[in-house]
Amino acid sequence: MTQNKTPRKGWILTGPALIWTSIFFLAPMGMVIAYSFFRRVGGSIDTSPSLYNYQRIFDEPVFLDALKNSLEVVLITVVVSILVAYPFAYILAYRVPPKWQRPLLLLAVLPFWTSYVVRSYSWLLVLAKNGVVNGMMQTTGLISEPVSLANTRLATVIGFVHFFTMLVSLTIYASLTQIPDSYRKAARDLGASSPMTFLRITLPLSMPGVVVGAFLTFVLAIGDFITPQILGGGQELLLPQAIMLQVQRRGDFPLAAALSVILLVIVIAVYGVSAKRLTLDGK
Amino acid sequence: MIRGAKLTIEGITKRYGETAALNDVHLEVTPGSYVVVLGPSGSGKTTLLSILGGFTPPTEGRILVDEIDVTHLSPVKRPTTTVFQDYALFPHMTVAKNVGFGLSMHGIKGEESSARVARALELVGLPGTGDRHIASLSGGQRQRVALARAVVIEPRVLLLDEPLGALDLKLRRQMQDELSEIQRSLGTTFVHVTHDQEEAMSLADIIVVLRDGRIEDQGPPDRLYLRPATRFSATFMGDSNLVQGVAGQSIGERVSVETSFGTFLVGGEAPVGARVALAVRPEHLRIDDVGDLLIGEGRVLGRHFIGAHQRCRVEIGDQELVLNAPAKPPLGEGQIVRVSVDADDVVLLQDGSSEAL
Repeated sequence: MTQNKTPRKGWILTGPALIWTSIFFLAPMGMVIAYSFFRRVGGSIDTSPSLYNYQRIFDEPVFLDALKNSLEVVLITVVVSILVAYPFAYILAYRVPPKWQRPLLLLAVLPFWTSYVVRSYSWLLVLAKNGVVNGMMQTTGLISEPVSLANTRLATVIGFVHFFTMLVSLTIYASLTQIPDSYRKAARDLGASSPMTFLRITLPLSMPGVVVGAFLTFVLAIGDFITPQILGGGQELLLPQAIMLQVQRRGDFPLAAALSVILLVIVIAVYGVSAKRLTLDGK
Repeated sequence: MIRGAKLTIEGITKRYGETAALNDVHLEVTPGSYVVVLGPSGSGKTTLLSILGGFTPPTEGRILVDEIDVTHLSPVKRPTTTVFQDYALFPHMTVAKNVGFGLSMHGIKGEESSARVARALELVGLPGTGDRHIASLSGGQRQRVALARAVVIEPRVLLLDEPLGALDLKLRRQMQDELSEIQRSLGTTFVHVTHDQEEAMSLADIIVVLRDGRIEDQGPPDRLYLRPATRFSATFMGDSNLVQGVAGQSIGERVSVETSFGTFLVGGEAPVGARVALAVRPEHLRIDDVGDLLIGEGRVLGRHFIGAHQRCRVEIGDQELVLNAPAKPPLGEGQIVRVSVDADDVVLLQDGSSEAL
């Protein structure tokens, strides 16, 4: 890479990307933020800025509940995804012979190849009252009456975890394979048992992968509308569903914009926290 | 003062499928000595170290530390510690945490631990660096921290895997001196693996030359250099001129060897008619006829001035010899010189065989 002496050349090269970003990202984002300070009055919009929408969000329990539900569902998703993904990634990185690691990784990312919507509906079939899980539990005599699994928070979490486990596995696997073998050898050589080697060496050094995976899961899951809509099925409202409700049913764009801004602020805050964790690594 | 352990390697063989990385290696190391295993890449030296450290199980044979069989002990329980080639310092810990890691794994904590960490850092010449991060250390400092981390738990045998390989030449020579000093002050048995013969000679009490998974030669550096047992060790350890010949009659402890330069009477044993080689170090060849054995008259093909001496290629008959002549007077290309050597400086080698003397 050569250093650009003329700043103009730099502008020319980055120009297209900048224009693209300005038109399709910054401008709409600015509009959303601006809208959040407007107010819907009847069928028209009052453009004099006010905090009216934010006031409503913090005053009306339905919005705070949606926020709380969203945070709960997403945090459970993050934790469960990490708990499922970590052992998988660990075994893949350290126990599976190298020539089998790639084929297995490929299998692991297969769910990414199917459409998001199709995947959600598939889970609906599996979890429905006359679905596979209920059928199995009934034939084995575990339950006598079909249990409602679909259209619950559990279903949303299962759908999320299925998808995000794969994502987190990838980030953790990448982190684990970057740890030189000699670190674990040295730890054992110095008298550390296997659990100790894991706790003191492998786990802390793989934290970047865990944090990146957790962050991506958080950001993608908290903004997701499809999975809770299809699998959660309206028993409880998550934040993206609340936003869609304002847009589709009520036509209250300013309120939807304010909810979106809150979502954005949460994501930025989570990014701030995880970015800090990443630099703590010391390497 | 920690006393090093006696290390015994009994018939260690390591096979990977059909190929043998190590083939029936026997070695006895006296307590507290500095052993350097020297060999080219692929000679099996790293495999040997890995077996000693407990990271690789041997296919056959036993490892004994102070007569106790440790062949099946895991590295966790072995009285050996390894200094890894890449140092394997933990990047998320400070220098002190790295050095104290082994202590805390052995249940040594608090003041005793910090005192021992401080002493180990002092030993390697890095006092007061405990709070530094690994990323902020230079290569030489990392090497020292790795050494401190290994010796702080007082292993009976310290294993060093090309410990100076990643350092630049000047630093390497300096660390050699320090390693040797540290080994003497600790009295720990050191087993050091390298492909650098200069490093081996300056550090070792005993050098073990490894080739294709077999021990080719072993002994003190001067013996190995002056009286190499095989062609391989004669050429791998420094330079040697090799002259082919056929053994004739033995007279006392000397054998007459017929070569293209004539017949020479040299020390050693060889059956009549055996194909042998004579090895002569460049610095033992003289450009006068004062030596016991006159090799002949030759023409200087080329010359490099090295400083302490001038290194010449001299053609005698159809063979080229390399010799180190005194720095003065300068020899010119094409100049005719007489070349001789003292009989004691000629080493008789069984041709192509890898048997010991």
